[in-house]
Amino acid sequence: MKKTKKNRGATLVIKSTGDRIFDAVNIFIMVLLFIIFVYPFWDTLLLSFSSSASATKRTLRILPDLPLVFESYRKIFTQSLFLTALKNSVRRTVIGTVLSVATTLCGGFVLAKRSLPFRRGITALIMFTMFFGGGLIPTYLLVKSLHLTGSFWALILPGLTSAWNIIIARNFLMTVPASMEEAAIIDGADPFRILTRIYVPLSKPIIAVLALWSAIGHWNAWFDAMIYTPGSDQMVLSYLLRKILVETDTKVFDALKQNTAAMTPTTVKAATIVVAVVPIALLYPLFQKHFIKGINIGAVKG
Amino acid sequence: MKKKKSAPPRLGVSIWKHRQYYLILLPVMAYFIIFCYGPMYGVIIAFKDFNPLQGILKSPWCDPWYKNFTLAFQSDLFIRSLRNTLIISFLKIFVAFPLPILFAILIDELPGRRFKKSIQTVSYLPYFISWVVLSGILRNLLSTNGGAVNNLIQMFGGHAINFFASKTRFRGLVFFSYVWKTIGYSSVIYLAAISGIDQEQYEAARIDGANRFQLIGHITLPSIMPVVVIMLILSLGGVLSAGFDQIFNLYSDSVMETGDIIDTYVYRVGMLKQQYSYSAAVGLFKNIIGLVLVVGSNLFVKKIDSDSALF
Repeated sequence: MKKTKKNRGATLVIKSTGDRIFDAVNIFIMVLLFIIFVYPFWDTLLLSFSSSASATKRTLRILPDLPLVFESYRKIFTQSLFLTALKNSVRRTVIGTVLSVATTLCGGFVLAKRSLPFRRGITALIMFTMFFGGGLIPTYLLVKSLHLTGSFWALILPGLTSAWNIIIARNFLMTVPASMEEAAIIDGADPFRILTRIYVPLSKPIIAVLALWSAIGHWNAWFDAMIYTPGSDQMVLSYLLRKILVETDTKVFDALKQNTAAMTPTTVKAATIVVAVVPIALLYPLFQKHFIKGINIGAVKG
Repeated sequence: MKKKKSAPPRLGVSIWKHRQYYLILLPVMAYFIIFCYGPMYGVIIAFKDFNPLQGILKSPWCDPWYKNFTLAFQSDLFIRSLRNTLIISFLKIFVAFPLPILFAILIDELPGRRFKKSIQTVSYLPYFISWVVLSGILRNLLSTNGGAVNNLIQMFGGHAINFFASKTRFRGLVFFSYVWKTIGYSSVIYLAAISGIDQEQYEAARIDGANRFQLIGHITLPSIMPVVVIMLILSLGGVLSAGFDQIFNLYSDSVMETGDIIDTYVYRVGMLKQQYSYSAAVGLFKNIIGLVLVVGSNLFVKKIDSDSALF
């Protein structure tokens, strides 16, 4: 990526007719794909600002129908269930991300310590969980037997960290020169201090990757909320979305439809989708910068 | 540090010296032992007639021990879910597999950095959106009541199609929505491989009169082939995971016959009907096959290119 790349069609040799046709066809395909990637989101956005009358129009929505209708947003933001779900989603995302990144870094830091006795054995024990697990039912029964069902922690603890993330963190931390740690040890620093004062400041790229993945994961998670915390006071946004969009839960619908004779549910659904996508779209530039690194950071070697 | 090398410390001494490291590791190990190895212990209910009141230990063993597995293979619904899983996985692993490679090559061949960047940016976006939301967007897009796709079909004189309720179209829906969500993100690794190719090769070939297809066929493809082979082999490990999240948010009663996969079957039987032992057995069957496939394909990768193996 660092190398300055020339366009292949424009190197030394002058473009031939064949090149021009190739480029034209390629650009055509890409413009088509561009539309296919963007239009579903654009259509949903337009729909969320539509009145119920224009929502069922038999034409393609391309430009916003003016004036914009904010009714759908007003409806959902005055719904207590929606506000509870939004609050719970933000809460689990923030707390979950902080705890998950901290745990993963601790794991990566210790496993990066080459002189640690039983390091290979511990690493193997952790890595095995990447390839085998008990499955849905035993996990559910475990969470239930720990009396976590119905608790906020059921959304945090079962997915606190993962073998994959710990290995990625370890591989990154192993690139920190050992001399820095030795110098700190001579100064009398204990491992915890070394981790927080030396490793954490040097690991910003990996922390960014881990935090972004974890945040997206928590924001999008619905399955754990469905099986562990189905109560309405513990509703999270993704599960509420599933209820509205997929399960077409009539009770939720009725709650959202209160006094909205003119408002069809489609526009309300679209508005809820927009609210769920906006935080990801806002984080997106940051994400793009870091996530490719995440893919390329180190092979997973035991 | 140098002293250590001349006289390696006794194990006990070394462990004591690292006690604070173990302390930091403690919460991590607690997590893995409780939440990863705990369920692996709990999976013994697959061999028991589990009764929640008696608990895992006191519930009686099955007679014969493989009873739940026999039951599964006698069940039409399980066989159906196995067949659907294999068909959908086949579509995803073999039919969808070349598409991100093609996409990466086409992006690389695009003239103009700006356009390259923007198509990449928009193509990654669906990857970060959950299947719940994508399902909602698709339902709106494919709706028979004002959905863009059906509007388009009707504009050209066709009849509206209820994509979500059509048994014959469901796998197509799964396939295309999967490609739409993942093609951009999956192409990243191939784009990285392509950007590592020496540009002089292309220049030399062009001077010799090669056209664009020849450049792609003789330079780009052979250069990224090792990455391609490894990605393909590693994806084989997931052959029994056809994508719970996606199917669960797209399917409905009317498409069960072509859409129900092992994971959704386990969920329904286990969580909704609470046949814990039976569904744990089905899940265990799936996970063991998965483990064997991952280990097997990894051994295979190791033979081809030991640097690319997972372990």
